[in-house]
Amino acid sequence: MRKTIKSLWLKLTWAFNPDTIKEAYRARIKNFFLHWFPPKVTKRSFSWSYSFWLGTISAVLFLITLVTGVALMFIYIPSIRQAYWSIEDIEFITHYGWLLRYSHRWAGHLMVVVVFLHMMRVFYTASYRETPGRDSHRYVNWVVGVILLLATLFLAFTGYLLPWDQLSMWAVTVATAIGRTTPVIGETLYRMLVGGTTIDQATLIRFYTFHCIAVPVVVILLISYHLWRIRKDGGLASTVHHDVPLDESISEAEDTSRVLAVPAVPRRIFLVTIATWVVVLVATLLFRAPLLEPATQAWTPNPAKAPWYFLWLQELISYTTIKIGHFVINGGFVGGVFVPAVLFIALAVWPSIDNSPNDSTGIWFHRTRLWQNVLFTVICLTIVFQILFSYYCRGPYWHVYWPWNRPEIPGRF
Amino acid sequence: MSIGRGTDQKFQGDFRVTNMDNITEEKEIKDHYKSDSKWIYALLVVLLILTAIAFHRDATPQWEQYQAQFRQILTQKFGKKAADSFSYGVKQIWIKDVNKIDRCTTCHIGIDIPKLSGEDVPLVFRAHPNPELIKEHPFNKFGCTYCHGGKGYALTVKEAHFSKPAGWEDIFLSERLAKRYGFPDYKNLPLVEMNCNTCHLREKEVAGLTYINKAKKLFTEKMCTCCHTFYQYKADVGPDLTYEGDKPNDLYDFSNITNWGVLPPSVFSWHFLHFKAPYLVTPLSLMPNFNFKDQEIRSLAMLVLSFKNIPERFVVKPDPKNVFQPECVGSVPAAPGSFTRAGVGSGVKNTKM
Ligand code: HEC
Ligand code: HEC
Ligand code: HEC
Ligand code: HEC
Ligand code: HEM
Repeated sequence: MRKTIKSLWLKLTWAFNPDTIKEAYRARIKNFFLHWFPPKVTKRSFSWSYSFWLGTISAVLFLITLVTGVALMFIYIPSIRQAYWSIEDIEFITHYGWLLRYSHRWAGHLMVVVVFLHMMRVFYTASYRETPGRDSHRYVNWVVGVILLLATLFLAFTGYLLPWDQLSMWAVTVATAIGRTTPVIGETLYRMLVGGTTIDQATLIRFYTFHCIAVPVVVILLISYHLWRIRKDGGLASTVHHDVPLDESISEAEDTSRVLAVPAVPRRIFLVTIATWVVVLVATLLFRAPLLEPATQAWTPNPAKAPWYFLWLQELISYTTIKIGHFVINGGFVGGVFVPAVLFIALAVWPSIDNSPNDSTGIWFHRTRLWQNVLFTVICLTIVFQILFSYYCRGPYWHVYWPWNRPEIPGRF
Repeated sequence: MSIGRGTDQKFQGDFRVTNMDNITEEKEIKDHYKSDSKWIYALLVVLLILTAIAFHRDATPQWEQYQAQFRQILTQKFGKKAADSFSYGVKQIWIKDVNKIDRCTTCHIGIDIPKLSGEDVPLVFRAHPNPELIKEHPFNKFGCTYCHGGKGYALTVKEAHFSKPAGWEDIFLSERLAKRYGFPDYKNLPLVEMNCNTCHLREKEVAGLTYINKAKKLFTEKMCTCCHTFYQYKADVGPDLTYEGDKPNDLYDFSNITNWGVLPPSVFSWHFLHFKAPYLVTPLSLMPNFNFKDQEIRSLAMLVLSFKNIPERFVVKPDPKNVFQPECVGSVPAAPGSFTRAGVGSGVKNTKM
């Protein structure tokens, strides 16, 4: 009996814990969970300090939101009459409902942050570069990444509405009003997204379907392609590791810059997964997800703020209304649509604008990319600063205050 | 494009499937990142601890402690048998026709057990203090929050007795809140009368509504409807008061209030100051200063905040002899030093500014 259990255990686990080099190679080929890893990875791409594993962390966060989200779907009711109360039920009645809700919320917010950081890491290391003499398409992966960033924002945004409380409804009202100012297509887009002219039941069911089905499916497909692409492109971009022959003619002893992928990589991914999970769980235990009073059109919170990741747009709007004589260019359009559109397009095409030499590939802050890095940093910092400023210093009527004495409009009692 | 490059000699790397027969190295692997395992074990322990905390938190909700305490009281008072017949669990009043749910009885378990009245029973478990009132408003039809406010769904004291002074409509009208606004009889939850009057609006007098009855009398005597629209009574000197209680807080002008005195900053206090002397909040107000006394100010502030738009089916049909009819007859009785209606017509402003 003990023997069978032991052999069964070995059968299931040997691949993750190979003893010999031969076994390590075999594991990759025999085991379903390991078959997508390359035979070897460079120590450089494995290191913490190079990529910070931010891409993997994004994927884990997405996985956490996916699992908790599906569980929440069993209870949540996408109706403006019941949505809020079903959230209350999740908080107060359902076993572990609070755990699911808070984990989902914090993992989702963290994902926005981490995906952005991942994008910054890829930019600073110029990892959208192709490997010389090699059939790689990292540019494609970069563009896929930009779409993933947008999809992540949209995912977070559509989820924001679902609790149907004052916070969510007015945040979405603000954000959709920004998009509405797009010339020509703005109104049509707005009506398609909102399902009418006000945020109502039609909006809720649309956002719900986007949030729970359409966008996750797209994101899953894109992440799968993104990861497959990395594998096909020969791992993380670098000019360094291509000095070493990548085939087996080199003996293990000589191969000092690379390690066998198994068991190191699956183990590292497991470690990253647990670490991310721990962080989300700590946030879950420490902080409640906000839930204000049920949404009502009769009363507008003052100030009504967009979700934090769109606050920089709301901030831009307040100083981009341009007056030329009696000709006024709408700030909603300039700050809310034009500026971000230009930024995202620039981001997507940046690899072809970047004309630094190939040596800079895979190197943090390479000196030949100085001006680009400075520009990029300035833009990122501006965005971050505007978000923080808007979040902490904007008070009633969008006036500016110190965060510690920001007044609130007195409540009813 | 160089799609066919797969066969190129220069092309190296993981495109090529490792030929396993070539690998003869039965050597042990040099495991470079063994330290990852240590971290994994450490984090697994952390994860276990966090899961245990989460489990503990979920398994010991606040209300269960109250129910355990309640069982002890049952045992003391009625013996073990009665205690055994009590079953743990979330209890709720579900008013089906309006799909309203109040879970207050999860903690306030003794609310409908008359034998549990008396000072020796902890307040949470005490029977409801006014059985007559409850006879008119049975729990299964009225729940609790129509009168008390608060969050019916919630199961923690803090959330159920919702008191954050924000825009929340149905804030819990507690004893503490009444005390904060200086009600001398705060122990009787006077603020609850505001909620009573959302339903009892059409009645001139309702037993038990000390403040509201007084306010309605003033509202009629002082002929507020000569200046304010109120349902069928039309006037346009002052703002429409029909749904004054629904007016959102950001439509109030707080900018002229420099000194709230002992009052907390709020809409309620705004009305206090306004009834004390309209010019305190609206410097050029046309509304006369009626020199109301403190109790009258409290009553009127409560009255105007109870003017809400609620579904007609909740509104109690008054007895024909008891209809609230604040009609404007003749001219406005001028408050001392104030103006008459003629003054308004000729554009003369209140000189008491
Ligand atoms: C988690 C348990 C719990 C729930 C749920 C609960 N209460 Fe209470 N309630 C208490 C306790 C304990 C007290 C005793 C006074 C105190 O310590 O605040 C109390 C006191 C009161 C009082 C009198 C004291 C005061 O501050 O005015 C009222 C009225 C009251 N509750 C109403 C309600 C209503 C209405 C609800 C439902 C919306 C409710 N409670 C839900 C535990 C609860
Ligand atoms: C018809 C309105 C009404 C309803 C319905 C109602 N109450 Fe009350 N309740 C009152 C009033 C009025 C008082 C204050 C009575 C007093 O102290 O004179 C009060 C007092 C209380 C107190 C304070 C007791 C004390 O001794 O200070 C508690 C606790 C309480 N109610 C709980 C509840 C709960 C729980 C429910 C629902 C099951 C409920 N009430 C339903 C009107 C209501
Ligand atoms: C949800 C609406 C509602 C609320 C809130 C409410 N009542 Fe009532 N009340 C009623 C109804 C309905 C009746 C029954 C009227 C009838 O029989 O014609 C009633 C009857 C009464 C009666 C006896 C008959 C009468 O109309 O005078 C009194 C007294 C009374 N309520 C007092 C109160 C007090 C005091 C409160 C607050 C603590 C209160 N009510 C809160 C709906 C309400
Ligand atoms: C001579 C006309 C006049 C009379 C009589 C009068 N008011 Fe006014 N009232 C006004 C005017 C004008 C305003 C608007 C300026 C202000 O805020 O004071 C006002 C404002 C108010 C407001 C604030 C409304 C808001 O939302 O801004 C309330 C509440 C109010 N009155 C209640 C009353 C009550 C109750 C009475 C009877 C006791 C009364 N008024 C009698 C003229 C009058
Ligand atoms: C849901 C969001 C995303 C996930 C799950 C994800 C996942 C990953 C993973 C696991 C890697 C491997 C390297 C690493 O961990 O850093 C990676 C690399 C890469 N990512 Fe992402 N990514 C996401 C979004 C983005 C975004 C927003 C961009 C850029 C706009 C981007 C561009 C790239 C590129 C170009 C690489 C290759 C880097 C290299 O070769 O060094 N990705 N991604």
